[in-house]
Amino acid sequence: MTDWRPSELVREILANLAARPLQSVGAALLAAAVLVGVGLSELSSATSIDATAAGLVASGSTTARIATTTGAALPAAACARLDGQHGIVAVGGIGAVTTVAAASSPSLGFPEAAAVGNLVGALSGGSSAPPGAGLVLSDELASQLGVVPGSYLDIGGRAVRVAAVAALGARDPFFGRLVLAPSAPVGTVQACYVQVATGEYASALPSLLGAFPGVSGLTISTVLPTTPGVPTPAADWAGRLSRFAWVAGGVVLGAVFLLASRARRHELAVYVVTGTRRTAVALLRPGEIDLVVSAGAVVALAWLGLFAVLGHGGWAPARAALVAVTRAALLAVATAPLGLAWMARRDLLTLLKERTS
Amino acid sequence: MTGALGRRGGRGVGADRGRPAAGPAPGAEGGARAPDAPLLVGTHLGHTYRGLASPVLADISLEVRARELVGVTGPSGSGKSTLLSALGLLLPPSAGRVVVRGEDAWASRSAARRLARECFAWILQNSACLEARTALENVAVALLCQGERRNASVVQAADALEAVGLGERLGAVAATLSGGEPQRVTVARALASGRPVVLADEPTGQIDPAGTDAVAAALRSCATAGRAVVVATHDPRVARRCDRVVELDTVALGRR
Repeated sequence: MTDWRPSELVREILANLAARPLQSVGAALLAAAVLVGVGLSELSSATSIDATAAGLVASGSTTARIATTTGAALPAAACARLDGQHGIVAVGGIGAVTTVAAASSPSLGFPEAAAVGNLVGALSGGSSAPPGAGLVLSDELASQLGVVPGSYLDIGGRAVRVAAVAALGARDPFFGRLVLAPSAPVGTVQACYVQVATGEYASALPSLLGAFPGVSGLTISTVLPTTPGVPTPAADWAGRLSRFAWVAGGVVLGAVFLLASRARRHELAVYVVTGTRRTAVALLRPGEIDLVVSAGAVVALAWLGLFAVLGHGGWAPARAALVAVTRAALLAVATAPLGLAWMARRDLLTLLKERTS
Repeated sequence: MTGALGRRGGRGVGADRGRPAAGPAPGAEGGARAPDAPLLVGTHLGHTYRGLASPVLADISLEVRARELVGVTGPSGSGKSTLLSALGLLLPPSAGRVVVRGEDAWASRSAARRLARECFAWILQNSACLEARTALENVAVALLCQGERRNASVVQAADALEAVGLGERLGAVAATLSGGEPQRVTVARALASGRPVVLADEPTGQIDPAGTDAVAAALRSCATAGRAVVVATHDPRVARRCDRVVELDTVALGRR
């Protein structure tokens, strides 16, 4: 029994690609475009995480949350007195939380709490509204309610002005749907939030520990390290999905080449009827696909590498993007034999006759 | 069973016409077999497609030797293509035996059957060509797939194309060939392949009279070159060139 010489089989694959120059180049460019898309998705995900973390660090490094293990309240005045001490940028406390709803969206309940001091500043880096100026809404909730600063909300029959909209959930997802009502530093707060300048956390810690004398079970935790770069649950899910962009890219490419194999089934049947064994035929079309995807991957990797290194996130996110592109390309290559599996299910004469239909 | 499907052993139309002295065909060496032993034998072949109540083919017997050009004729649906598919081992017949070079193909193991299939070169009605490739490359494939080197294959392919009158069209892309040229390419491929049995299924079904004559002549040259050729056709110009003609009668195809 005889069969193709391996070198001649490779030359046959190349000859088939060369016989259709436009289709071959077009397929390689399509593969490159899809793979670049996969890489950019990974790159933007990695870059946005880095940018968020860097932004938070730049705007105040660390936010500390001071509370008690017993759930006992802290004096609001003591919390407010931390403002202006060494290394502290902004301080604010959160009062009791109640659930309310706006008359315009009665089914949309949201928590409302008193905000003592500059809680908004401690959480988002922005400045707080003065007591009595109105409510401060998280940007997520403002979007859901369709309000902007200056709008009025009917909450429980009282018309309340929206004084400001801030990215309250940037530090802690708990604040993502919160309404804060700025109030004077009297009474108590459930927790005190302190934004500490970059690199000053260690030196500020004694001040924080000494700010609430007589309070037992005091705990101080940093907010930023527990939620690095994950400002909201929605963004977290988006990040998780983008990590699987390579699967989507590989499947899309594989599906495109599967359809292309279907269109070439007559040609593959001709090889069989001419005397080529199915094992050799099973290498011909996947061989073409492998070369096309490889060419596209080389183009995509080169482009993404340059794009990332030349000022779009640097080498670390670029590396993640290159890994995603490689995975997508390998997935597309792995699906190539499926086209042949489909062809193998049909009888030869039917495949040959399909050309004229 | 509805109707007598075909005639046993076929009708020897022109059986004594143009048949050269028997001799060994290329690739027909078969160990202890007699020099004039048939290369291909179909015995009491019958076939019923799934879903059909009546058989398409019933009790057809046929022997083909080297240097013979055997025609299979009959109206559309009479089972010509089915007979060729059964003889060429593409279709396991519902009844009967197919013996290739002395071996009962369907009683053999699959590896032996695959080996037996390598005896056949096919010429098909709808010009089974690689459309993006040149005529020369289309013919050379038949040699490359047998382990030949490209340079040697190209030389032999050019000779085969010359033999069927396409010496001036070596570099033409198959998709641009016209009339009977694609069929002649497949005939050249059969010639070049060296396979001892050529099975042609309606090779002139879609071409003009001039092209038909050229293809018929090329089939004749296949037989003259030492191969056994079986051609299913309804074209009298092709049938006239055959050494023998097996005529299939009306069938009950399509009755469920």
